[in-house]
Amino acid sequence: MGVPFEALLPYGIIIGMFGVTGYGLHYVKRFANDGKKTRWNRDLKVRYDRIIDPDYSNSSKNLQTDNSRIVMERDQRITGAFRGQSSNHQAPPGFDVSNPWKMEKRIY
Amino acid sequence: MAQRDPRFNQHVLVDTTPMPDHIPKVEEIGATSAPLHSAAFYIGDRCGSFNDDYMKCKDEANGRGEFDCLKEGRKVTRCAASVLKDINTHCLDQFKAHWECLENNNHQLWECRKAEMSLSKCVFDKLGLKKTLPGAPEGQVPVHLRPKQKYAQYTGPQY
Repeated sequence: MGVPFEALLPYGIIIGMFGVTGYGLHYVKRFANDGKKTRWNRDLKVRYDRIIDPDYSNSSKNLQTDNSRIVMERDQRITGAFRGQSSNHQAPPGFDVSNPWKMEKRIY
Repeated sequence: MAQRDPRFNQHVLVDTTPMPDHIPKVEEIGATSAPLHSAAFYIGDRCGSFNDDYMKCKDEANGRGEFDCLKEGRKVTRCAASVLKDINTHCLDQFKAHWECLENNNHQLWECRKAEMSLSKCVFDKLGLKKTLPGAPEGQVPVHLRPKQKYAQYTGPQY
């Protein structure tokens, strides 16, 4: 007695859905990254506090490992796109005054 | 009160007041992360002494380096801009190939050795700048010249 093919249909659906997830995530990530492969471990969160903090920037070890991360938001200020890149040697006009200061409510 | 960096900021302030007139102007560098990463070693080759000068000035400024080392900082900016301008003029195709490869591979240099070799050759022929790894062990082939890259997606001969 063979297994009827209807018994295998759910497994086909399950396995097909793995593929839908994979391709779907692929396209969603590409879409969110302007059509490029996504970046990882190039964090947007480590930015100004590490530039400003004298203890941090004076330690040569941290400078070596982390200086590729602090420019990711700068890219966006220069090109206007999240993954935009430009190799100009001159910044666009207004770039030198567009650096944002983080603000927070005063804590008493 | 000691200066405290904001931790949980909800908004940012963009202060568009330009620098005062008594401070000489300098053009900011317009290259973004991937082209800067790609050109970093050539910038270091031409501008190493300016960069060292600036870091020494900051070390000796007792925390006032942002104000006291503006002159050295302008030299660093101008020198790096000159290197980028030269590379853009003479080696644009190789440069673009390399930084686009970096941008597509999470800025990992070992994925782009082939493009890097052609860029290195062009930059050395046209500009005379050479990539050297500071602190690389003596008597070994430096990692950027090895044909096999252990951590690359394709680990075989890169060029």
